[in-house]
Amino acid sequence: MVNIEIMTEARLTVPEAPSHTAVVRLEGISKSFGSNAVISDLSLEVRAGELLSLLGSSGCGKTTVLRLIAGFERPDIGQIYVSGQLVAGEKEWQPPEKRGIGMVFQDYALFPHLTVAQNMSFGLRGLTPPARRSRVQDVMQLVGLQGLGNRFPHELSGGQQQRVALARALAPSPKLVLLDEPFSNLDTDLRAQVRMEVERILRDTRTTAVFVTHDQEEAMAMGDRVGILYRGRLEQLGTPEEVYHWPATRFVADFVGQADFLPGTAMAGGISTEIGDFPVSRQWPPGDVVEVMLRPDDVQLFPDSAEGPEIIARQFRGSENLYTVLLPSGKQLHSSQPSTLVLPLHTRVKVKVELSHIVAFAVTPTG
Amino acid sequence: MRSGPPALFWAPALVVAMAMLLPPAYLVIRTIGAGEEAVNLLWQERTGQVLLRTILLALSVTATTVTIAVPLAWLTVRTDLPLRRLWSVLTVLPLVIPSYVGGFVLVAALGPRGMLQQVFAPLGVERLPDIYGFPGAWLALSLFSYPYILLSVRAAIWGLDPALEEASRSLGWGPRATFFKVTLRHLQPAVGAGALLVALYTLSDFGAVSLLQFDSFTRQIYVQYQGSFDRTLAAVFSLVLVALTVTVLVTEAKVRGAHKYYRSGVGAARAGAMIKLGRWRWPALAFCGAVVFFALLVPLSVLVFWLVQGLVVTKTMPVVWNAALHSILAAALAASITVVMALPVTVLAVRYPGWFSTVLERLSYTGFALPGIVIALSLVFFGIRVAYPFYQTLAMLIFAYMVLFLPQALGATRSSLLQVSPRLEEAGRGLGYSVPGVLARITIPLARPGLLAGAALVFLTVMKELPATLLLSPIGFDTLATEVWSATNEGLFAQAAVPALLLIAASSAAVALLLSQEKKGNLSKL
Repeated sequence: MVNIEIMTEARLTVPEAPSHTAVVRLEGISKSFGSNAVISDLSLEVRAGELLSLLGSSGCGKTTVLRLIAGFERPDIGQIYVSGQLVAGEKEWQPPEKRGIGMVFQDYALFPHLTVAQNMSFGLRGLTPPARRSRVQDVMQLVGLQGLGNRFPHELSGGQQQRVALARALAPSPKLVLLDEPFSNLDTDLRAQVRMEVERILRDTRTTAVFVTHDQEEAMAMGDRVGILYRGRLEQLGTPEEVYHWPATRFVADFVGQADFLPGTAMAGGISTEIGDFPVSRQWPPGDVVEVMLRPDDVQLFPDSAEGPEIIARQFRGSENLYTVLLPSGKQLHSSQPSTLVLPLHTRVKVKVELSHIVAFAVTPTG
Repeated sequence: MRSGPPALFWAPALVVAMAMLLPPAYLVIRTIGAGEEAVNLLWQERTGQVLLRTILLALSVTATTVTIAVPLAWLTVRTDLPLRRLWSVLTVLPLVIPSYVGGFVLVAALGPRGMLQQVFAPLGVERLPDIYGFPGAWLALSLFSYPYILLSVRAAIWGLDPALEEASRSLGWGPRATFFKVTLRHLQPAVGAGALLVALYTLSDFGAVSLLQFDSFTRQIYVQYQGSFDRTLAAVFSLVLVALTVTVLVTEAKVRGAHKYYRSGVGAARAGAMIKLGRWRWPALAFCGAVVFFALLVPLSVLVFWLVQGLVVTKTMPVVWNAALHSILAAALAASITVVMALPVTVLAVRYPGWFSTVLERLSYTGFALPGIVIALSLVFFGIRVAYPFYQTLAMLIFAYMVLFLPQALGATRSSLLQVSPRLEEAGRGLGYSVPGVLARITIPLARPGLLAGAALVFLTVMKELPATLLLSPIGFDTLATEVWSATNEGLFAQAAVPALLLIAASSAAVALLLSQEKKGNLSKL
């Protein structure tokens, strides 16, 4: 007899998204480079005023999405609307300079032959020189670079260059700002600080922004909504809480946060697994093989009997202890425990799973 | 902890640096020795005329080459020009034609009793419009030196971060405005660097201007050296010419310093977007075709024409074995000695940085600023006045080559030495080897590929050196280069064809080596 306790609560409530208007709408976009399909049938909307993060590992096509929106790439199939106006479609094409979309490039792409102030005023066309100067003053103040207007980009630190790039993109008051891996060139120490700074600026100016990253912590912390891309497909688009707690696909569950997948068999009213039965509202055909997602913080351990699962590893992570538990079937589970709870290796434990809701995925025959 | 450099390095480096100073120093001594006469010669009207002519030639050649090279670079890198790769190779190839071979080709094709005149002879054409003087010199130098700018601009286009153009587009500027506001601005330093290289090449060139009889400084120096007993005027002209080349070099350094266009980020390098030429494809093709036709196809056809002519008329191959042997002997000696001399200077500069090493290294680049004819002339003065036993010996010639080509060897040894980690040398010391022991057992074996490349480069460049060989080689010591020169001067075009083709072969190897090393700064010594 294995020591298991399973508790479930009512479904977590997710804050409702406010009513919105779409700044950008992508409809059924596909894009290939040669024989390499980079984006497949992608649709999404960016709402006015939101920060949308696109998360994915390298090569998933996230930068291509930005370049499609900006107009540096043309979709093979599908339409792109900016503020309700068709900018890219089968017959329609608006070049980047007509779209009014700002972009912060991964390597900033600051013009090395222009000063900071000249970089910032580069996109301010059709303004009188005094109006231009005052706008540059405004954005310089906004990003906190007063007094550095006469410097050249190479005379600035990485964080300052980043802010110049942001100010340059914001200066013409674009409808939308795109940020391509905006923090990947910064040191870890600086990154969190710059990230909060950038978020503050974007929020203060009520700028609609889409940014791509491979760092899930960054995507979750900054995005009002997070889109997870995998092999050119949008796997899920939702609030950080939604994608963490209600992952739509097995890939999202695995990619966002840490998760174990416990095999089980569907039966009437629930899923039967090696550590016990999980009640689920969704009806699976009885007998189907499914997997139940368990986050390490869902799994509690209590040193108990001489029988039962065994602790085979402990990873000290400062704020927590991450235990690896070996189930009798050979399957391993992870459990996050307070850093003060130290259990010796080989301790036999009682596993208690506390779930607010159950997420399970059908096991596809191909695995 | 860092102790001073051992005498093993600084003593020979000091000797090398001092040796480099010998030619310019003696030139100054010789001129000052002439006293008032030198001052009078300097201020005479004729000096001013030669100066104007030289500057005029340098400016027109530079302007022409920029006009040819910048569009070529753009077309062969960023557009969908048909057969783009082929064009990008073909347009660089004229680089392998030494200027005096170019001069020979022009004279042999368009000069009196040249190819064209022979073709028209049955029609009773006795004389063609004169190609001697400015038109010939301008044409020859432009046709064979534009690749310097082409290479420099092409590298800049490759290095251009496409995100800059995209940033400009996203900030509301269209393709045309972006080209002028961003792209062209970033090519400016490369165009400038290449243009200065061409200007330096034109100022120092001896072969083309003398064969085409354009009285710029280099030709006048040679004429004065040969024709008059008093060579003070040659010395004065040399000093003015050096002042000119130094001005160009200083300008170049300043321009480069002021326009350091950093790529201010790392980022993945992406290729820029290809421009679709559409119907502009045809004029673009015609342009590339015309350049390749005149700078490559015509010269080669002329050489082959005269080669066949020679075979038909004399029924035998003109004998060049002696000249080839002499060329190879001198080049091999110069290459090995130059690299050996470069080594202590480089070790000092790379491993023991400081003001002393910096000064010695800078001095070793003297040859860069001095045209070959000037170095040769000062060594003639030095040989006659001070070191007569060495005058017109192989040793003197080799010494001149060393002064001229040490910068090339320094470039190669420097980059190869930078590849050898000082940790390895320290490990050698820790295992009980002395400084020379470590040098022989660790540093040199590890740096060997670079040292050999440097030697090969010097070897090939010496092969085609003309003015120093002309002035300093021992009596009867003909080389391939002097053979082409004298045969062209005497109108024996068939005789010049074989050595010219051999020199183009040697030069091609040198260019291939240089391009594989990507030492842009070394290009000016080709």
